[in-house]
Amino acid sequence: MLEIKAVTKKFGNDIAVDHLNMVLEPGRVMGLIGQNGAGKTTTFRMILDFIQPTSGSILWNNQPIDLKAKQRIGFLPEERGLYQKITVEEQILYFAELHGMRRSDARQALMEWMKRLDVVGKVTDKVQKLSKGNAQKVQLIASVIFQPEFVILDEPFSGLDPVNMSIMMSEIQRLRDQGAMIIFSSHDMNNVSHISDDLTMLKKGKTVLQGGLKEIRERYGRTKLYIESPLTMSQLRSIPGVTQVTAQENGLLVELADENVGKVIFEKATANGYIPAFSQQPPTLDDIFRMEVAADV
Amino acid sequence: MFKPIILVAKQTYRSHIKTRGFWLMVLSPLLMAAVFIGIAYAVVSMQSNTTPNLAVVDSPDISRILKADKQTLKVNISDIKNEDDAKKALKSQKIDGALLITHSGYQLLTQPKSEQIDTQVLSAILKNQQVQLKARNLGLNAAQTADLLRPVEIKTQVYQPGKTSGNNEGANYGLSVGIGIVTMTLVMMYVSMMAQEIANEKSSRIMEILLAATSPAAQYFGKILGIFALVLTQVVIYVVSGTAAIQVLSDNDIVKMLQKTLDGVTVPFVSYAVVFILSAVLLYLILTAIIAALINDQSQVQQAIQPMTYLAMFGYLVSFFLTAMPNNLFIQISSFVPFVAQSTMPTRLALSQVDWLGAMMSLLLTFVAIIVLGYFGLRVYARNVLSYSDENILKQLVNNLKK
Repeated sequence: MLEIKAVTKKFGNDIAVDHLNMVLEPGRVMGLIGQNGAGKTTTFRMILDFIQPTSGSILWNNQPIDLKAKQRIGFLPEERGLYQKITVEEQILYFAELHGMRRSDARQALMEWMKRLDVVGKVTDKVQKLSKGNAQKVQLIASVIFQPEFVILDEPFSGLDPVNMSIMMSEIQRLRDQGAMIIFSSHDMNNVSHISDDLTMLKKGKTVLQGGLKEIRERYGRTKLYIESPLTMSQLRSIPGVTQVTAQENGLLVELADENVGKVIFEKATANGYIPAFSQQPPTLDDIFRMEVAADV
Repeated sequence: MFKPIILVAKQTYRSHIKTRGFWLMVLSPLLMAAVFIGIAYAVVSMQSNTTPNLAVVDSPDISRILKADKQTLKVNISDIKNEDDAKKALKSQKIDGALLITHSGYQLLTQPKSEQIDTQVLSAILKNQQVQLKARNLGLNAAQTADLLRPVEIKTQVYQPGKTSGNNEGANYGLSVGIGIVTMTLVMMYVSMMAQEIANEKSSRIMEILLAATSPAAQYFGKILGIFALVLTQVVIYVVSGTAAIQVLSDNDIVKMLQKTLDGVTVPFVSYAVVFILSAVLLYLILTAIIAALINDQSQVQQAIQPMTYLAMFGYLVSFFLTAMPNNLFIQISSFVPFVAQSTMPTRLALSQVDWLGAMMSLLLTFVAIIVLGYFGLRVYARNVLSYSDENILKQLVNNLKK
């Protein structure tokens, strides 16, 4: 279990991370969201001991993260980097060895990974010969080939095409199912909501949201309503508590100030019996993200 | 701690030893040397095949004397009746020179395409002949004449206590410049390799992946060790191929000349010079690792390695003046200063300007510099290898020293 306790990081007078608390358990995925400069990468760098927190502590299984522990962490940096002029095999084996894996085991594991991720190219190819998409797959292999217990992925989806994005998502889920604890950062709320069990949102270093994904969404109430009914846009707008009505596909999307307004609308819409659609949902993660970014801390 | 260092060193070594670039770098000086020796050999052998023809005009006596000394003179001697015939023979390039006896002395006529006739040897033989003739006219006996003809002998030997054979000045100069060149060449090659390596890992953010698994110390020491192993490989290749070449070409005139020139160079001295050069290269590599950690991208590599290049160049230049100015205080001091000492101290030892104790002191100072720079360098390296500053490298370095 990873425990981040009241961690603050200052750079001069700037506070990059402000009193961050976080618990991450094996077999769970934590999505770390926030705008650029929110403190996500700084948090990862503190976990990896690249920089030291100004105050607070980071413990993994009640121990500070030392070199030995670091060997069990798989890390995918935000800005990807591989040795361009070295073969795929040579560099993957090197990274695996640095993480304490035997060369022969790594060689075998590499073959399996190449096959599973469908990497086009040979292990004896230099990285510069690979396409961008295949190089991204190799980068992922480099980070996780040694079966890490803890995986840190900094913006794992950035720059990926849809095929590689789904590969990345299923690999994250696979690692989680094998018992690894995973923390990743992302701008794409769609991906975050797909694979995160827990969520932390940072804004200018401060934690503005934290908890299970479902629980966070529920916290905002079911204030989004999709309806297909005889009610017109202007009829809906006249109902007190309706803040916005927009056309969407065959129906209308209604934003509510209070989830109880949903009942009023339901009654009015079903006054003459059957309607084809009525779905009252909490705001999406994307909506929440926008709301929180817009709000003052 | 040591396992990651060895891993990094092994990977650094392996990734270079497999490249064509490395072998080109190592073998090109050898190829150059082979080509140079080949050309020199060809020139020498061609020269010996074409012995110049010298015709003596109307003087059988002189002709006979010259024929007797044919071996020394290295010419074919023939007789010719008169000057006109000689000129005709020269014009048709049948002969390379015609020796005329005039009332004031001798005259050597040649033509534009003449093979070289050694006039110094020729004049010495003729002078000897003249002295013998005059001695006979003055009534001197054979012993007196021989005594008169005995050349003055000046034997140069540098007094070096504890050494049986002395180096001559040429050898010392060659040695000093040679050490300077070897050090500078190695420094230039590997300093740039080291800087490129670290700059590549840093700018491509591979460094983050590496440091997620190991410590900065493992990267720093491993990288230095790996590159140093490449230096050793190159030196071993040169020593082995050099020894082999000397064995194979032991009959070659150039090799003989070289062996004769370096006659006074002893095994302890060579070992000392080699250890010193290698230590100096190691010191340069450490400094490069530190400075390269401040680089943001590849474009700054040249700027970063400039200080090392200047330092190495400085040592090289000092080595030029060393033989000429053995008592210069600046040179004496520089022979104890790490980064420069390797260019001056071994030669000062060869010239016996300093004893073994002094020489060892200088080497010890370089060892101390390696340890101190290695230790403090690690701190600068660890602090900067993951930070990307817009400040210029020198300013960053100064800021780091203040901290």
